[in-house]
Amino acid sequence: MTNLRIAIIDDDSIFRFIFSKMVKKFPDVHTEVIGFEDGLQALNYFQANKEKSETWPDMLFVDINMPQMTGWEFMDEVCRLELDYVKNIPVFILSSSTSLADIEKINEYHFIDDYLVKPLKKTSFMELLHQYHHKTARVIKKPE
Amino acid sequence: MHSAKLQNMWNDALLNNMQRIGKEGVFIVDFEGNIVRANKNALVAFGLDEKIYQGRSCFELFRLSYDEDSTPLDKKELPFSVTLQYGKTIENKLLGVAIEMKPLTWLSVSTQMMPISDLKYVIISFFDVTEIVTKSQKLEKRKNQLDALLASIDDMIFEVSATGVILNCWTNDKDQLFYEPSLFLGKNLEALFPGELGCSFVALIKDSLSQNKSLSMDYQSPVQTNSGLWYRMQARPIYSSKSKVAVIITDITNRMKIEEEVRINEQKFNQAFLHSGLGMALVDTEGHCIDVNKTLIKMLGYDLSEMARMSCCEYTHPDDLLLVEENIKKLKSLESESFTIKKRYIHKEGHYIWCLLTMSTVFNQQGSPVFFIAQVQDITLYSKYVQTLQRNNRQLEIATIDLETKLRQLEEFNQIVAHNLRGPAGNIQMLVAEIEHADNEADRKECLQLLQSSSDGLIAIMEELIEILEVRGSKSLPFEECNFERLYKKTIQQFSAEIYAKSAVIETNFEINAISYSRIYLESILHNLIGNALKYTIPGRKPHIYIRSYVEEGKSCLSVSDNGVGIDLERHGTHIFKFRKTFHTGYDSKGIGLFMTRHQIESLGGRMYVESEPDKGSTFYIQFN
Repeated sequence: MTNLRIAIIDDDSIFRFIFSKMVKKFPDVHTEVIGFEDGLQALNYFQANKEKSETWPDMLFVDINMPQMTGWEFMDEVCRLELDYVKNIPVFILSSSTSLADIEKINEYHFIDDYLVKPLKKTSFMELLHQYHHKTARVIKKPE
Repeated sequence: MHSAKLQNMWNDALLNNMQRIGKEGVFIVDFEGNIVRANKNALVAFGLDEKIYQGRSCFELFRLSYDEDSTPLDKKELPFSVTLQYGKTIENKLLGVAIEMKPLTWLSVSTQMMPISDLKYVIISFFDVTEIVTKSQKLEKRKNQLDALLASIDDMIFEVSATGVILNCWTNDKDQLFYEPSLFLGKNLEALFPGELGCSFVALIKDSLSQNKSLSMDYQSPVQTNSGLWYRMQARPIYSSKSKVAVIITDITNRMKIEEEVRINEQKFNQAFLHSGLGMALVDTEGHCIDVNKTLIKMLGYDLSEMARMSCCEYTHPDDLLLVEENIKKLKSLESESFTIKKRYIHKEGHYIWCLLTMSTVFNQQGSPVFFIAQVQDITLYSKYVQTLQRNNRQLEIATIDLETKLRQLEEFNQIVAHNLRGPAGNIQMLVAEIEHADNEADRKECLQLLQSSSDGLIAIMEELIEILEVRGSKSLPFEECNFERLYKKTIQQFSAEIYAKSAVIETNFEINAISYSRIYLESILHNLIGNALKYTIPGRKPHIYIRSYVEEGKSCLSVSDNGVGIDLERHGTHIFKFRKTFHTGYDSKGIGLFMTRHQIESLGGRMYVESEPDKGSTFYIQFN
């Protein structure tokens, strides 16, 4: 059985709960979800585990609209703190906003893979996990 | 001897008879030029003594002689010398002779051979013509002067008879005449200029003679090819004659051209003056009108006689007098040639008219001001339009700001709907799906519970949104006199427990006591700001809050300062007044307060901003409308 560790940054605890439940239903894979209430918490974690690659997540999902630090501010901090390994894993924006201004903003961050709109459809989410899980466990991206 | 004696006697008789006949002087000289005989006239003329003249040499007497042109004559050229040499008779030769230091005596000299037996004698007879020569010289001189005079004038001068016959003509430049004088001298003007022009000439000459005064007429050249030339014909009676006039023809083409230009210029000015849409006046240096046009009369209500009588100060607004006087003074002192000012005139009916006055100076040839030209433009309507325009612009600006605010708020609502409303709604959708596919009762129960809290959250947000929408829709909120002190005290009561618990110190300085505002909003604003100041405190630091009302830039303002945790504006500056934004963990906050406060203030046309530093404190500033 392979391992799939997924990190989610979202202040909405109910969504985090549902998200974990969905991930756990991913078949034939041992899944693990690391949840963060906000960007600051996540940054602290990534900073602390910079050298411990065994703790690194395989995929990262980030909400935009959060108190203290927005999803975009989190991305800026990742760049500023040179947390390159975070940029090297598949990163997704996960937001309830369907505003074009938000969707197009991912073009400013080359390491963001896609923009997913809440609510998540179970089938398409499973497909996404499947697709990325079948690529190498660690997707190496070209440096920017 | 007898015959010789007889001859002498005969000679004497002849000489004396001659003397009796006239003033002729006579010498008889021998072949050497020595005087043999002389009559009395000759002796007197040359100042000779009766007794001792015989034997005197005529060459000596005529030693200093000149011909007509005042050229000195040689001995051999003297008339008697010529006669002696060649036997030639000479008649009436004019000779200037210097006699005894006197001015030249002019003599008309005749000489003739007079052989007596075999001896040669010459008889010299002469008249003193000095008087005639001098007169003639004077005439010559006058003629020269006349020529010089003619040379100095450009006119043509004719002597014309009463009937129009040209008798004489003088001109400096013969080309001016166009014809040879021989072609017109002795001819009648009527014949020379057929038709009306000739008749006019003659009529003018006749009138001039009958009225005995100089008359003139201007005419265009009758010659086709010179039709551009203009002449003035002047007939002037000659005082010494009743039947002749002097006709003076002057080329006045240039003068006519200049006069025409002047006439056109005058016409131009007159047309501009009379029919100008501007009020115009010619004003003398004392401020009285010499002339005014209709527009000005209509504008100010006075007629010309009134304006000529009144000084311009009398119909100028007292407050503008100084300005007008100063500027006119500058014109008079030649400091400036013109000025333009805005001033008020007093209409005859008493009301004031705002006008734009331009005044410029007209100078005489000596360069001193003769009068001023005033141009007056009524700008009452213009001023009114400008005021209206400014008012409209202000309204437009306000409307623009209002619209921009609304647009920004709308964008915010879009964000709120996208992020805050779709979030819980999405959760509900996902939870329903979970419940549907739940494979055990425990999961389903858990999901149901979450569904409950999700829908509660959704409703809470909806209620907040409704509250905000009420703020926006409440333009018709009643405004009333809001007393800061009273509202402040009411708010403080609500927070008494917290103030007590944290030993907070609140200081107020209400420089303005009250404003006209929505009381509900002002209560809410104070509640939020004081609530925040009491909430975001630093443990261990005694909260100190300072509330001040004041006037800035003509607007009522309120500020609330605290010494609490502050806000990192560099990080949160753009979100500070947004919906559901919180900046501090560990405090019970939903991020609604500042958003609401801002919306309430903006909905009533005001504005809100903040100054803050982390760990030092914050000051919120409110500028009411």
